[in-house]
Amino acid sequence: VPALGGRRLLDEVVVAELESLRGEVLTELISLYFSEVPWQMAELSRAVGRGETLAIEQVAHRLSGGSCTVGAAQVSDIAAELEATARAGDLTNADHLIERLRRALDETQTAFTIRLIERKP
Amino acid sequence: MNPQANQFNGSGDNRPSLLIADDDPVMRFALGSQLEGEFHVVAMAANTTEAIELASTHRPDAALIDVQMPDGGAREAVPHIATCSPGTCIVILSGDESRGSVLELLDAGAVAYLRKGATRGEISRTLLAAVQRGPDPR
Repeated sequence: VPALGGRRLLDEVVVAELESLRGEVLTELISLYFSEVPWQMAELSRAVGRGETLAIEQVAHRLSGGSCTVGAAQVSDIAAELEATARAGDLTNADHLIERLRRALDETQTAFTIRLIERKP
Repeated sequence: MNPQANQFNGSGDNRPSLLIADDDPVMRFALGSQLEGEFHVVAMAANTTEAIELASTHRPDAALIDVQMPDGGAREAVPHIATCSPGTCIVILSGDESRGSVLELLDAGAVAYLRKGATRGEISRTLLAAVQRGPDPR
């Protein structure tokens, strides 16, 4: 699944590995992953607004790790960039990264939805 | 073979028993699903206290512990688990810890270190190798 610039949306190796697992693992995992996203994005926006670098670092770290696990490669990369930005204490680019995260999450959700529909017999 | 491994004690299940500890439900679900073929996942913990309690209760052959968790993380969990369940091989899972903190955890009782993003095969092989070798004598 190509993206508009940068890394591909999905890590095909990871997604293929998850697809090889029993029954509905991928469906359940993607559902769980996107159920976590709203509070993570809300917390990131709140923390960026207040300049709370530690909170940004922690939530971005978790989002990056979870995204890497489900194969959401581009989201994982952007979240890792946000985490590094917060760790460095420089939030000048944070709003831009949050916006990129939102777009990447939307595109990733669409890509996974198509993927899951195509898997159905 | 690890003589303290409890999966060969007549339960009829040849898979090594495994505790997974990670505060992220996505990670717990993914790891459990990926490893359930080769391991008997006996418990999952969402924080450090749970990890220590469940390790003490189940005494698993292996424990996969996330470095960053509420109430202490692996730095707190590893020495406690190494004490309360000395037969458990502790493998650390994390994103980008410094070499110093990894060495500290290995010194505290962990036997191996895995980065988040490791493939299912890498995680499985590392855990199986750890169980075969057994925990470091304390």
